[in-house]
Amino acid sequence: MASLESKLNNFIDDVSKAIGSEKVSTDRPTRMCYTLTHGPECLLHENYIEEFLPAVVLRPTSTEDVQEIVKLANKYLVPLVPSGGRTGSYGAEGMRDCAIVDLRSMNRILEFDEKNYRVTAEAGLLMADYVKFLHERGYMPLDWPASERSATLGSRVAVNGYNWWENGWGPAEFHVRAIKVVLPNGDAVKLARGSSRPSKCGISYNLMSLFFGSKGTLGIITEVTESFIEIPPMKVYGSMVFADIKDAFEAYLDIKRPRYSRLVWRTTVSTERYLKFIAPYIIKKEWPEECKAVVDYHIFGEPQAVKEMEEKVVNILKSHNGFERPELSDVRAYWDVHNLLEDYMGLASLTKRIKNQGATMRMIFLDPNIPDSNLIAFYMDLQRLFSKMEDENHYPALSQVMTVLESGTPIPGMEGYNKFWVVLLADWEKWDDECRKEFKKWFREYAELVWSHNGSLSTTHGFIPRELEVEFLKRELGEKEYELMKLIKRTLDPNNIMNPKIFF
Amino acid sequence: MEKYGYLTLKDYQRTLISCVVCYCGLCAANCPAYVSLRDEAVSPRGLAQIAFNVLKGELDISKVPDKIIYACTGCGWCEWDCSQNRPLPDDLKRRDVMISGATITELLRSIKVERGEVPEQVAEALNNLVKFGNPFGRPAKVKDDWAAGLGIQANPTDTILYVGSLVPYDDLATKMAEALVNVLKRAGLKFGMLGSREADSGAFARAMGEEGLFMELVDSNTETFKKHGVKRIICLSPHDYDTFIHYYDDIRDEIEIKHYTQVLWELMESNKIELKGSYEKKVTYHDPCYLGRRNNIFDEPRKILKKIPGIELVEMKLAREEAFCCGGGGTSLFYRIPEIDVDLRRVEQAKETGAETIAVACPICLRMFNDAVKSKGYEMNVLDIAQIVNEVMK
Repeated sequence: MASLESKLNNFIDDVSKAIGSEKVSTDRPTRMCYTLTHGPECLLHENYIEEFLPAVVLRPTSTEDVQEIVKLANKYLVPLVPSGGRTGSYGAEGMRDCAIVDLRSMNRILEFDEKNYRVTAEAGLLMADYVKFLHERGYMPLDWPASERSATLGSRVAVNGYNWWENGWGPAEFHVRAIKVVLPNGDAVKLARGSSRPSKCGISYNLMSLFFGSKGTLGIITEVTESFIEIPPMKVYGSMVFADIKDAFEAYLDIKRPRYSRLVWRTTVSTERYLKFIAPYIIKKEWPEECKAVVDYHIFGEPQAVKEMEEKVVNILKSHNGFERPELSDVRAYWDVHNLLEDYMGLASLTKRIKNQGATMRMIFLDPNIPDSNLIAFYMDLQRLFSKMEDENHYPALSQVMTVLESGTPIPGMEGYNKFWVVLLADWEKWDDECRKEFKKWFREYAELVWSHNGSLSTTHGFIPRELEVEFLKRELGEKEYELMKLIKRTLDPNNIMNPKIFF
Repeated sequence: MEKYGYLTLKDYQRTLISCVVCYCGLCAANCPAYVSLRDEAVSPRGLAQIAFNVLKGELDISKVPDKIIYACTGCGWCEWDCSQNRPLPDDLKRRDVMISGATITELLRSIKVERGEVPEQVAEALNNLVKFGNPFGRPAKVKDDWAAGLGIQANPTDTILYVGSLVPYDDLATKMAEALVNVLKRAGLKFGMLGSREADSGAFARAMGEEGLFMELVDSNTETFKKHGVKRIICLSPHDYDTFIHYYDDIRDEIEIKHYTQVLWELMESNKIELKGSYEKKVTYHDPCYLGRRNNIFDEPRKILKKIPGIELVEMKLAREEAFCCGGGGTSLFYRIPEIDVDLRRVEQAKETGAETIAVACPICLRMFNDAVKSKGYEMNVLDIAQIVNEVMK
């Protein structure tokens, strides 16, 4: 039986011959660059570099290259970890002795079908380039991530990405019309509903759906066809302040109702902790104690409809005791910060300023999916859980290294549900084994809280500490659904080569 | 071991950690090295990880391939787009975390220099800088003869034109310098040159990681400027301008440093430049990285071009702060990673505008784009702004 080292060497030799040695890197510095992603899993491994260090990095430039890689990986049983912008928070870290398949060299726009509102592009296309391409032609994408300047088109499918305008348009899976995927046996197959592009079809299984959120465990996505729309002629942005957090949530729930969602593309509630953090940059002073929340909204559409909708939204906000405060009314400044934070990935600019010497704070994103009916109760319970985390009597180690930056901003997801955006900061330099243990314990409490409110642990980011993942997936899905998932995985990937470190 | 002039890799430890823990990747979007190679290791985010691991002792720098260490062109895109540098509304101009791919690679290159592990071409250019004051290994006296040929005695006056170490050894840079001399003379500006006493500003040495030589050049040039009573330096190259502005601490308060486009615009505004002819072409202006993004000089070059009769100025999609690099920074003039095709990409971007001429304000950009336009087979002119002004003054 060949040793692991000789198998890897043979794989690397053969793959170099098949796709070209210039697309293959085996030097340690390059491999080290694929140990991290934007996600927090690295915090939970003392020696993350060695544990996540791939054996080789591959940069295919075509679907055919990917097919060659997959066939050889099957031959030599080498695990493959697909990689896009590496801004996802879960799953794209390398793993010991794997091959990273970095798809960012595959970034061409292949077809622009203007009449049918479809674009087909390679999976490694940067979302910002995709957005720019459409803007130059008077269109905009319906799948628009906050991380557009780092994320790639294929990774939108792999993580079923959250859409900036999800209240109006839903997540990535609503706008992807077809994908080309290289299956674990090396076959390249185009998946769509019925044929390559229809938006609705009743003649077959929706096999494409299997790949949304699959995070590279079922195949490697190499092409994506997405739909787009004309840029609406008018958009407005506004906000109102609330003295009572419950009033703010009620107002938000009223505004995000499905009947308004074709015009109200986004609304959020910013809560006290976050407002206190950003206040110095908006109002140049402390955030007033009596103001507990801000609800903001974006309305898009034809001018008359937008004006009427805005009037309606303002009335809703006022009916829930929303008010304007002259010194807080510079909505432009508020939006600038808001926009900046989302555009520039996870509040990095702000965290540095907040913490001053906080350069070592790594962000942990939690985005439970919470139903409308339990939103307020969940928020209140979550605040208690944060207080517990910050209490050294409950969490002696964690309380010293964690900061809650954003304690809960609900953003509409699919109707009736909400992405509940939470950002924690973890001081990486001080993080130790005790912190790891306590974080997993705290995460278990947090998961129980989410489930007790009929929620799910993740809307998009998918972060669950890997050690707890199988147990937690079974809790969320139930044994039977989990077993079905396993059966699908085994059927498609009998050698378990596709990103085998997650889900199973 | 990790000495870097006044600073060491350790001095950047917190900034490196900051990048490693953030890991947002915005730095890569228009990084010329990354866009060319699509290799995480040459992206600023990747470089930060590598440098951090070198610092921690997890990685031996001897095992870092030259492609990674010498790919960066120093364009400063990463620094400009870094999410941690990104200004909030109340401090729009603030850049308080000064770390970039250029800084990281210069630090890594300096360690390579200390270990004597630099590529042959870099070693040769550095040796030439030591022996001759220019990276081409040509006798310094050639510069006296060249200046004399233009009717300028190499006698410094209050104001000097600092042409840098590409002149008169690189033919295109020399033509650019000659055009500028002509324009300044006809505008009636009194100026001198240092001739053979003009050593490299240190820009090349620093980019190659030879911090010791860089500091020697800073000291010797400072002494020369002071000895000759120089009060104003007009720089031909944005790279020298950037070096004088940011690293010549001892002259900053005494000597006024200008890039030549600033001076030309002053002369135009005071009607000292008479434009007799016209330049009837569609022109696009490329912002040199060391002039624009690194030193915020975006307007003067455009104002000059707009003032020239006949020019239709069109912008490339990536312009001003977002301008793509020409590819000539870093060590690229002497040691180039073959797969990095930044210059070709930039002339494609220029071509998309429909421009007939690419105007530049930097001798390195001039060299890179002239070669790139030939390689692509484009019917486009590449001229420095000084050359266009000289043309219409005739």
